Amino acid sequence: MVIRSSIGFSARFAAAFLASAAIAPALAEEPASPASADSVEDLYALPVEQLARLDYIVTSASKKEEKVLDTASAIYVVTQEDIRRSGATSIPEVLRMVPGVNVARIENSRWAISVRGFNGKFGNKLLVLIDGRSVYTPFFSGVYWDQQDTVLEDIERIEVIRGPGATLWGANAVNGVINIITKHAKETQGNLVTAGGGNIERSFGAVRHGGKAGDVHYRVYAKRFDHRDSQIRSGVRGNYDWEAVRAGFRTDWENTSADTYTVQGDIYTSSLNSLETQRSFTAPLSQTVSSETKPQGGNLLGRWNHDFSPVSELQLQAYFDQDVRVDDSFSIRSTTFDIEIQHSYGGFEDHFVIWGAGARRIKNHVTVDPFISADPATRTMHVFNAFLQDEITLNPAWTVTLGSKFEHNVFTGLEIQPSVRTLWKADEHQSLWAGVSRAVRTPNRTEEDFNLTTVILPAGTFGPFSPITKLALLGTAGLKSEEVITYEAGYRAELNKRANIDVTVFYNDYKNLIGTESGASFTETTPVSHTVRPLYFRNNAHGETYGLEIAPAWNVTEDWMLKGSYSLLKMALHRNPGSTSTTSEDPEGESPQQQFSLISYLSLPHDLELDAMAHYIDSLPQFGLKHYVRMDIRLGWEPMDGLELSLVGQNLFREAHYEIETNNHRISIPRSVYTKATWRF
Amino acid sequence: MSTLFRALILMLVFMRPALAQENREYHLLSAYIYNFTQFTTWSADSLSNGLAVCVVGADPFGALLDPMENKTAQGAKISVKRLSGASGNLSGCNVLFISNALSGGNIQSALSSVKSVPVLTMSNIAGFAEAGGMVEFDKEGTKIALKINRKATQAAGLSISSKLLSLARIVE
Repeated sequence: MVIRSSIGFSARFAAAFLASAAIAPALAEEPASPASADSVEDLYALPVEQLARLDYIVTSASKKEEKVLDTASAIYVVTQEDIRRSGATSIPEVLRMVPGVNVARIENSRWAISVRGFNGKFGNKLLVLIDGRSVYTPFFSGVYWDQQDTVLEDIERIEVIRGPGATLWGANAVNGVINIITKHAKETQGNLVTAGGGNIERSFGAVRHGGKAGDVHYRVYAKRFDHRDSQIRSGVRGNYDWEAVRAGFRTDWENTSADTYTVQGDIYTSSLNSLETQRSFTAPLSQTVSSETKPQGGNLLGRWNHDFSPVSELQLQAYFDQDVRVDDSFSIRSTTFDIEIQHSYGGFEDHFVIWGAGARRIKNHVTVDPFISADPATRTMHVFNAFLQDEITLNPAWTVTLGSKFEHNVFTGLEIQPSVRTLWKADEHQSLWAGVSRAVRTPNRTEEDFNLTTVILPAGTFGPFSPITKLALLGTAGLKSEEVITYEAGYRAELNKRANIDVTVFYNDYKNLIGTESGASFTETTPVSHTVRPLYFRNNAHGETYGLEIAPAWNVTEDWMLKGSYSLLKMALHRNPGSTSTTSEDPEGESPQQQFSLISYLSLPHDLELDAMAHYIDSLPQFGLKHYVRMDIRLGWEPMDGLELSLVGQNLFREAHYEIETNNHRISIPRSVYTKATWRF
Repeated sequence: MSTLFRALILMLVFMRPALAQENREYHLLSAYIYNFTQFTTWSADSLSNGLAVCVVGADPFGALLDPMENKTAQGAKISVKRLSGASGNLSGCNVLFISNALSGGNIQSALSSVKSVPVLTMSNIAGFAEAGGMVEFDKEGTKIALKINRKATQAAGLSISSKLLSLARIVE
């Protein structure tokens, strides 16, 4: 078996923090598994400095894991333990604990998630990957969070990198990258059944079977849930349920000691109900109604890892992804093909080089209706990328990493995103890092191609003789990418055997932010004569954001762990000279200035666990929303081996609160309770 | 010494005993042992009968040490011997790896029987270097960390190349 000093699509720099050896017994030192002596020969031939870089623990293919202490970026890893003990039933809810990440639940099935500002239903500065597959839609440069799901128990970890991950992952990772990594099929053998229900999470369940066929490990799963409505306080009652059914599989084949193959896929269908503004040229011109959307889709991904030698690893990955969202009047379909190659080489003295290239083809189709349309209705977009990164060891305690990504896209042509990072290990327990990077967010279909009617106002709104008026958002061709130069630095320390702390400061300089600009009114004659007051998308703002994130963790005793996170964000946005926009500064009040989380995991006698999560989120002045505190508590019990029962209460502090406002609607997030059983056999 | 939060890739250790990772520890240790044979200097007469690499205690290496057989170090042919307990004659060895299957009392008696004799003692038992062993293979995160007790190596008349010393933490 060849040792893998491996790399992957996700951060090279990932590891999970685990409670000290007192809680988790150190990995048993077992006798070496019968392995061919050939591979050991390779190790004998390796220069000893490189031997020192290898991991003795090698898990699923395609990762070069380093201690987080060795990472020159602001990284936080959400572990499977965190997922289990948080009581979260969806991926967005799990992300609340990460410093610098703002999770605002819009309603039952929708979330606005961002890192370091600019949050909103269509937040666009965050790249999200699931097992290397990008789940970013070119429609609005964001993520439909209701479409991203899996059996949460089969997630190995979620790596969150705040700051531009541009060099390795490409454009649109302006403020951060979220990388969701599922477990290798070897680690999900056997059967898992979960089922539960509560007042809001009305019912949910999942079944997963993992097995082995010859050398191939596999798992298959199916899950279903049904979430009840969130309460509405803007007076509109209706059906706000969200239900989904999803199934999928993963197979991992270690063909030889140097080759592994992974094939995985998912398929889902769902139905979600939400508030929409219905527009019409006949009375009533605008009304808020509940409408049903049916997102459905599937994906298939294949990956091959090949080790040429202990220091040379290749990864080839291809995937297909199709998502369709159909609602009463409108539908969007996106079909993506992506192929990427990545190679890492550690054979040069003092240099560890990673390079790669890829191509992606996205076909996005929007049906046309009088109030939402795109020109062209169907657009096929190609994105080509290449990147190169070199981690240079200047001395045993100091590395400098230089890299750049080159990307060509249909809207703005070639984009270059360089990055310089440095890491200094002051001693074995402390490190300091800093970096400067340039990242871009390319324009999306909404900004370039769309014609959206936001609201229709009755005659007489603008004066006694004004006709019916339509306010429209019009896409503009030829937009430039938004650009950010990020300056960041951080400090990490293992304070003693039981506590550690991670501090990051950052300063982001944004240019060419895309906002809206009013244009001259004009008249349209169909279906009735009306005036159009257009807002065009323009690169018309710039600004700075800066702040800090602190994440301490403390194993108070063997049975009690505390984790905290605090983030501070200041935003100063300005419209460009020549712009008359009145909304350039709005994002300042749409993200919370401060967020604070405190998490406690307590193991009690008789196989009980008591876990609590409290989050404080600052006010959102732009929406007139006050700050709020949310508290979730979980009680877990393992009455017998393989069976875990839990009782979870969420939002316990208040009966209901608001987290964000979109399209002038706010939907309260209620208190909820559910019970769950997890059975492994 | 051991890092407080071990950087482990899998949380499964916490929940379920099913091992989900490859543990290559002994692969790496055998390569390290080979490197030590190449970068340690013994006096010429201690290698007159070849360089014997001995493993005392239950053998955790299996076939992993075999590639070393018949390679050379300092002109002497390397041979690998497995000794069952501390009762064996350890002074015929030039490198002695003490398996962690050996009990505490036996570890001390093994160490004292080769004290001041040019035998390079190595182990992955925690605390080995502080207890007088010469080379300890510790774990830091997902990597093997070397600890070398220079006093012990000097007392035995052995000199270790700076190539290895620079990678190790020196323990007094």
